[in-house]
Amino acid sequence: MADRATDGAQAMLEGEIACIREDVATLRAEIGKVIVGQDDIVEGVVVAMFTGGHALLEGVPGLGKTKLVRTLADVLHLKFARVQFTPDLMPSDIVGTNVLVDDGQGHRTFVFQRGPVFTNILLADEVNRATPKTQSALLEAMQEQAVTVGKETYPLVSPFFVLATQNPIEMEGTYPLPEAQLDRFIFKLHVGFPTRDEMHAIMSRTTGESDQATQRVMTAERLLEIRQLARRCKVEWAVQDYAIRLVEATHRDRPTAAEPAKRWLRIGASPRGAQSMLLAAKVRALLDGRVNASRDDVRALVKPALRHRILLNFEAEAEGVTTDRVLDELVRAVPAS
Amino acid sequence: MAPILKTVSHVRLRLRAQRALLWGLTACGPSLLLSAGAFAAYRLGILGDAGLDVCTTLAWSMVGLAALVGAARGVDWLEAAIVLDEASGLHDRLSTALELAGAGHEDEVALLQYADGLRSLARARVEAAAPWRMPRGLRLVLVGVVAVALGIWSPLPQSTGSAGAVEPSPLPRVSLPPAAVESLSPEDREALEAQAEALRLMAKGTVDPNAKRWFLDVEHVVRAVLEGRLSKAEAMKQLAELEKKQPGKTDGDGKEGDPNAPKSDKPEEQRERMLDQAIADKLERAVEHALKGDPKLEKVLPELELMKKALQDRDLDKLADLFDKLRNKELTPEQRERLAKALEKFADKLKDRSLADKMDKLKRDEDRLKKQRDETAGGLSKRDEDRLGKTQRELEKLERDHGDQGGAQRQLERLERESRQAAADLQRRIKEAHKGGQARMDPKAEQELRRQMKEMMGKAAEELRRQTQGQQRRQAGQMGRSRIVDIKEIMRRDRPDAGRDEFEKRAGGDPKPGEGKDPRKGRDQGRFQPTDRRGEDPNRRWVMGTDRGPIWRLRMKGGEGEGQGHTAMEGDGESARLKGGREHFVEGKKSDGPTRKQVFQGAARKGFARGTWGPVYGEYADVAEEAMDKEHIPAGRRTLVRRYFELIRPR
Repeated sequence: MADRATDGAQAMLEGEIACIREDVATLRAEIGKVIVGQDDIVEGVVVAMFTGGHALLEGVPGLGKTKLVRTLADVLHLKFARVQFTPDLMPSDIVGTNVLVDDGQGHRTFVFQRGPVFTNILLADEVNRATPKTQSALLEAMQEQAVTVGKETYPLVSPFFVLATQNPIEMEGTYPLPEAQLDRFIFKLHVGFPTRDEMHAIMSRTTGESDQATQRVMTAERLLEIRQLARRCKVEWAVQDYAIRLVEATHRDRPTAAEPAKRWLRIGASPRGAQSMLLAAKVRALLDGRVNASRDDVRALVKPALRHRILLNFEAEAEGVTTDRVLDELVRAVPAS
Repeated sequence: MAPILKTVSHVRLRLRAQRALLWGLTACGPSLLLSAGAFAAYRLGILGDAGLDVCTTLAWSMVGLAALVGAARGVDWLEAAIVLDEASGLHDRLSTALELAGAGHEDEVALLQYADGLRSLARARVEAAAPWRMPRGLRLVLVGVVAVALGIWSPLPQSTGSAGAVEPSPLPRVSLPPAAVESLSPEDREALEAQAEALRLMAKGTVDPNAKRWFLDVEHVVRAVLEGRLSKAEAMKQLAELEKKQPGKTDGDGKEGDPNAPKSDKPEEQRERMLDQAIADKLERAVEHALKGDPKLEKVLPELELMKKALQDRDLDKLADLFDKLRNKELTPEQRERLAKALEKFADKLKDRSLADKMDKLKRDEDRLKKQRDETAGGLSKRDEDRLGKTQRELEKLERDHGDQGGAQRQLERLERESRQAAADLQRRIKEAHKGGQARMDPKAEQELRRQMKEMMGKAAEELRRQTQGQQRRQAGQMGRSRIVDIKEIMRRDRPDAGRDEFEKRAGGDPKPGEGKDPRKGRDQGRFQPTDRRGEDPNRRWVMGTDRGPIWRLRMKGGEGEGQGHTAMEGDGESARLKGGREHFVEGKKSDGPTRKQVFQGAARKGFARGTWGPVYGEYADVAEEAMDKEHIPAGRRTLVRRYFELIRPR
């Protein structure tokens, strides 16, 4: 009897996973109606969203970063807000502020006016154009899923998902994000230039009479279900150990440091990096129809999960070594088992 | 889970087998060394049959044992599953399933994982997970096995560095303690090796079979010392024996190898060298003279041109070959006519005794004046003294420039006689043929003429070969003597006892009361006490010098009383040699000499000095040998110089 019940649960789970795969495929298809190419970026954003983390998209202007986030908000049945970060943007412009309200009976009270952060998907556009003070206003919201104004703490709605875009820091009028804030992003995704075929497709779509209409294919509840199921996926001890060893290898002062880290890194990744990799690996496995995270998943997530968590030293910068190159060599240096 | 376990167990089995192979191969290294050592000990007689069996069994048991240990070391199930996952691209499905099963997970996710694992088994590739690869060291080990096998089964080398078919004389095998080999310092070892190599080269370059054999014998002795097969004391005895049989050492009758023959002294060697030089000079001049008058001759008889070249190179052996060639050649009448002229000129030049006559005259004058000086009470008049001095100087110059012309002439007389006779016969026959109006010579006369020609040329060739062999033998003897001296010096230097023995032998002798004024030979028996170069410690018998090897000095007690008589060297008046001498004061012209610029400019106008390699080499080699004889040069450095000249010797 018990076996039969277990078999039934297993079958249900299997069916659930198949549904999730189907839903995600639909979601990606809807996004694909607007966004041409950028498969890795779309996958990264979707994985980050199901993981429950926030993603930072970096690329030069005009590559479709904002469009991607807007499209994602469109296809998900979620509340969406956008904040255009500018140098004169204040923290209260993001989290909200207490305003004096007259109730019509001569009583005036301070009422908290919620800012755009109280939403499901927050697009922090060009986040590095704001001052560090304003950028740090996002810190609590991103990590604690709550904001504190005065003496009151206001919880954010769930799911809460920040998708920030930024221009490369070398550009004029930008403020690099503080390391503490960077660490709160689960992924940092590099948006690259589209190929020629993709460019043709973009031109055709965007210079016509009207944009492609998208449909809402996923609700917030469904998103949370998937997130819960992903957390149930299994991670073999050796896989977990691999993720930890990768993070340890980025610390040049540790005995387990890899040679590239000793040469080119100033600061290594935090434990949050390993957490991000494992959580994202589970989501990736689930989207692949598996219930176990593998080394391949970890390996595929090393760059998006760790590239913003390591800091290059002067030698690396002088030699023009990028974080991606360091991480590639790190993966080669750390044995998989 | 059973199917998963079964598949993973295949991988484990393959991994174990590979590990066993790797461990076995790793153990092959020490096993090979042990086997080689055991066989070496067996060959040397240190190890018996049983010991050899034990050692080889032990060595190869090590390999088996290592392989067993390698196989016995378990391969972890998870490790094998991970390898299989990686190789098959299964995204850790099998390893996760195994781990979950091991941990006893029964939830639906774990069950789904098991099911997923089972489904993915179809894609598992066991061969890809544990492929049969050739271990890295396998080739090396195989090479080692072959090398050891070759070393074991190849015969021990009995001699090294032999040249040609001449085998060195067998030597008694003397087993020595290892210390005998160790006592050679690296420098001495190097010097001895260089000597052995030089001897090998000399043997290779020597035509004379006796000289070749002698060189190889000496080399064999040196190599035996280097390899520790012969003690140095024994080697010294062997060398002393060989020294008695050295090539070019002749007694009065010219018989070689007589141990009782007196050792040839330096003037004799010089005389022989001068003789060689004079003969070669004479022959060269004669051939040149013969060829000079008729430019067509060289075209008609190309052998004559080759002869000229051979003489320029001082290659008498080649010259002899050319004579043989000419002897067997069919000559046309024109060639005969020209050859007859050439032979006549050749003989004329050989006959040229003007120089010898001049030298004879000078010698006679010298003898006469000396006799006159000894017989006359007041000595010679100033004029006669001047004449004697001039005669002596002129004679010395002639001897220096032309060597022993008389000796050379004697050796060439036969050649001259035969040449002249052949030329005369040839011309006579030609004239007869012309007189008779015959187009061709009488066949009988032609046959007779050819016989005579052959005979003459054969004698000439024989004479030249004899000359070459004698020359080589003398050179070989000279070089061999130098080698023996050097080798002995190296061995003696390395053996302090030997030096001391010899020293004491020389110093001690049979003590006698002093007989001269020399205080060192007083009545009280002189006693030699070797001290170190600083003489600081009188009790020390000998001390190795700190920088240039052991230095021996004599410290003697003076005799108590006066000696009697006097030694010949300490004459009261002028020595006999100085008696007839006169002092000459020569005032030199003070000058800084030409500048380097002037030297180069002069050379550019006149051309640099040029010379044929053969004679130049001979002169330089002689000068080097003389310098080494006169100067105190370490044996190791002498070897280097000789080796250098040996290498650049014209061949």
